[in-house]
Amino acid sequence: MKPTPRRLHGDLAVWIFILAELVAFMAFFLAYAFTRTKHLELFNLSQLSLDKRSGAINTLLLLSGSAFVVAAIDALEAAKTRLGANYLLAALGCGIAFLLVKSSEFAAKFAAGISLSTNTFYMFYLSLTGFHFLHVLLGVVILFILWRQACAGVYTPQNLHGVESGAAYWHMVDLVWLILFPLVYVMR
Amino acid sequence: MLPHRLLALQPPFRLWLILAIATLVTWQVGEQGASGLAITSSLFALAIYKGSLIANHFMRLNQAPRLWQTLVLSWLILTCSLILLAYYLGGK
Repeated sequence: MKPTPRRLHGDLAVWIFILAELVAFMAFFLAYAFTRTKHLELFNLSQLSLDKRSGAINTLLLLSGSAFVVAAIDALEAAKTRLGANYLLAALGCGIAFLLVKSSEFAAKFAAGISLSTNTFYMFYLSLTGFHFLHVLLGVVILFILWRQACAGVYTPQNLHGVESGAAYWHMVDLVWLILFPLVYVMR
Repeated sequence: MLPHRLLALQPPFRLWLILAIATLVTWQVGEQGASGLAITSSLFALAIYKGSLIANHFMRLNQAPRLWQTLVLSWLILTCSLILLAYYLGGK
């Protein structure tokens, strides 16, 4: 039996965009890590105020969203359109739940008088997680569109390009958070 | 009973279970306030492991042209390694 030829799942332009996003996040992460070396006490002290539990819940929500997206593509590949759409809806629910948990975390910080200008740690915390929040927001919009398209029967085993491209973007948002969580919430 | 039930899970949910357990470990390390080079190295080794599962199996890069798989996995390893380097320099 001939092996299946290797192929990129999703649009090449989307993958180039994903690579650019990964590089941008990398620059942000390294700026945080190397700035931290000059303000160790401030970073370690300020970090204590972060809600690690909500960070962990958000990690689980992103991972769940990613698993549902993979299950959706598997179902669509098997021509199970309704099941695929339901999995995409579940992923959408995870994305919205992430935004709600993160919004309440931001609200608690703002209520405590914390802003970008409070100190260097909070400047990084708010801008890094805020930048990521915007990516999740875009991911949620994409998942909504994918769900609507799946409900309309657009995706078939022969036509999965669109849903694979959206899925790749969603997984990138997840991948980046897997580094952001230990870096900002846990590492001390 | 449990191993049978785990095997009955679809592959993405089996992978999800591994990723979720690894996340709980990271969270607990955070709650304990554990620190030091060994702990931090373990945290980021775990992040590389989780990230490689996402890249290879969720993004399906294990089926993609080797260049793309190498690019994303290199990004993951390089990012975590440079973070660790910064951590090491900060502790000196």
